[in-house]
Amino acid sequence: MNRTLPGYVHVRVKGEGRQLLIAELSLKKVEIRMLQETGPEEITFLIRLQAISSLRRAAFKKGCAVSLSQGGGVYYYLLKMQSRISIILALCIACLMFYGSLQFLWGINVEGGSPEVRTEAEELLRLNGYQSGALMRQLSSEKEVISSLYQSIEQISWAGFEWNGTRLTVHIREKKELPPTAKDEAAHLVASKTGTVQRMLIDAGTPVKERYQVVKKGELLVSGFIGAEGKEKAIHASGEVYANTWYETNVTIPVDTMIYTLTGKQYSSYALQTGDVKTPDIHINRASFSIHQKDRVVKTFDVFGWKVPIEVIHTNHKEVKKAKKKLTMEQIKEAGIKIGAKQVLAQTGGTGTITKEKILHEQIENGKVKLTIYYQALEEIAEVKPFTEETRE
Amino acid sequence: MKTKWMESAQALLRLPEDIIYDIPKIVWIGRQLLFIENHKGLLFYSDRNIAFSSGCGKVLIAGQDLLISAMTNEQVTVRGIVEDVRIEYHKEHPE
Repeated sequence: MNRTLPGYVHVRVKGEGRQLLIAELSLKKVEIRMLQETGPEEITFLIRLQAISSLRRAAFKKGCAVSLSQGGGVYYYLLKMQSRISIILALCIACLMFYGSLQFLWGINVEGGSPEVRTEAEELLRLNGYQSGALMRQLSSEKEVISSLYQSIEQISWAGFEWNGTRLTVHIREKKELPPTAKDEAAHLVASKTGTVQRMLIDAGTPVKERYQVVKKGELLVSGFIGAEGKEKAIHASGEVYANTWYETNVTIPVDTMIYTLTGKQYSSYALQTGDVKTPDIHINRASFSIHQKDRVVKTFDVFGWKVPIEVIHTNHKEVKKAKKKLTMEQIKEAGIKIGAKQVLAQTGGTGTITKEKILHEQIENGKVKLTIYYQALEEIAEVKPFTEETRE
Repeated sequence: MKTKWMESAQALLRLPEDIIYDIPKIVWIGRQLLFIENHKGLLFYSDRNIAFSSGCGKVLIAGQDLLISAMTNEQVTVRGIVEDVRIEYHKEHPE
C-alpha cells in the first residue's frame, strides 16, 4: 500500500523522556494533533503516517517507550478494504453486467391489427434485426424500420414504437376497408313528392322529364344511364330538380288571447355573491306586484387584471299586467297563414319556399277560428335511388 | 541597522507588527481556546502547563486539562481551561 496516502497514527509515549521527544518533534516541524496527558508520565498524540520515521529517529535514546496503535484516514481505510476486495470486485462486476444488460433489447411485442398483419410485422422486424437479445446500438433506426413496415405491409395505416426500458412495443393500426360510398354507386334520380317540374339542374345523368311536366311520387326524373343507345354506361345521376308542390293545412286560433304588458312600475334589489354563498337581497323602494318579471344582471370587478371574487347581483323587478285582447278576423287570418306556412316549410326539409297561399275555408267554433289553408311551395324533389332489378331495365 | 530599516518599511507600508518582528501572535478565546502563531517549538507539555519557545522568549500557559489539538510549525491550537498566559522575555530583548 502506498504510504503517501493520507492517514494518521495514534502514538503513546511513556517515560521521563517524553518532554524531550515532543520538543524534538516540534523542532523537526512534525505536525502533532490531539496531544494530551493520559496518565502519569504518559502522553498520547496523533501524527501523520509519513512522520513515523521522524518519530523513530526522535525517540532514539530518549529513555521513553513509544507504542503505535492504528489510526485512521484513507490509508487505513484502503487497508481494510483490501480484505474485502473480492466483495468489491463482485459488486463492480455485477454493476457492469447490469449496465451491459441494459444495452440489449430483451423483448419485442407487436400490438394492434389482425394476427396475420402482426405476424408479418414481427417477421419484418426480425429481418431488420429487431429480436430479443439484439444489441440496441446495432439496430437500424426506427424511421427506417417504420418506413419499411409501411412499404412491405399494405394493410398498415400507422405504426409506432414505444420503448419501456429494454422492451419494445410496436403499435400497429390497420387500414379499414371503407364500404363503397353512396356516391360511387350507380343510381337514378326519382321524385320524392308529386309536383310540377319548374327547374332542372342536372350534374350527371340523362333527364327523363321536362319543365312544367307533372310528376308523381316515385317517378323517374333523371336516368343513371348515359351514352349512345346500345353503349350505355351506368353512372350515379346527380342534380337538383325543383317542382311546385301543394299542401293543405288546418290551423286553429282562439279569438280572445291573453297578453302580458309591462306597466312601467319597477324597483331594484341588490345582493352580493362569492362562490356559492349569497347574501339576502336588499330591496330599494320595494313594491308588491301581483305578477312581476325579474331581470338579473351579475356584475364582476377587475383590479389590475385580477378578478375580485365578489359579484354584485342586480335584480330589476318589473310589474306585469295581464290583459285580454280580442283579435279581428283579419289579424286571425294573417296569424293563421304564418303558422301554416311554418308547418309547410318544415315538411319541405328546408329547401322550399312558399309561392302562393289561399284560405279555402274558415269556421268559428267555441271561440276558436278554424282555418283550412292551401299552400303552393317550390321545393327540391329529386331523390337518389340506387339501381335495383326493376329500375335497371 | 536592520531593525531601523524594517521599522521604516512597516511604517511606510502599514504592515502588521507581528509580520515584521519575529514575535508570537496569541489569540485567547474565552477560557477554552488559545491560538499561538509564529512559535518556535514546544518546550514542555503537561495537562497543567505548556511552554513554547518564541522569537521574544518563552510563552507559558497554565490551566487545567490542557490539550494541544493541533500543532504545525506555524500555529498551535490549545484547548482546555486556560487560566494564565505569560511571556518570559529573553534578557537581551529590549522590552
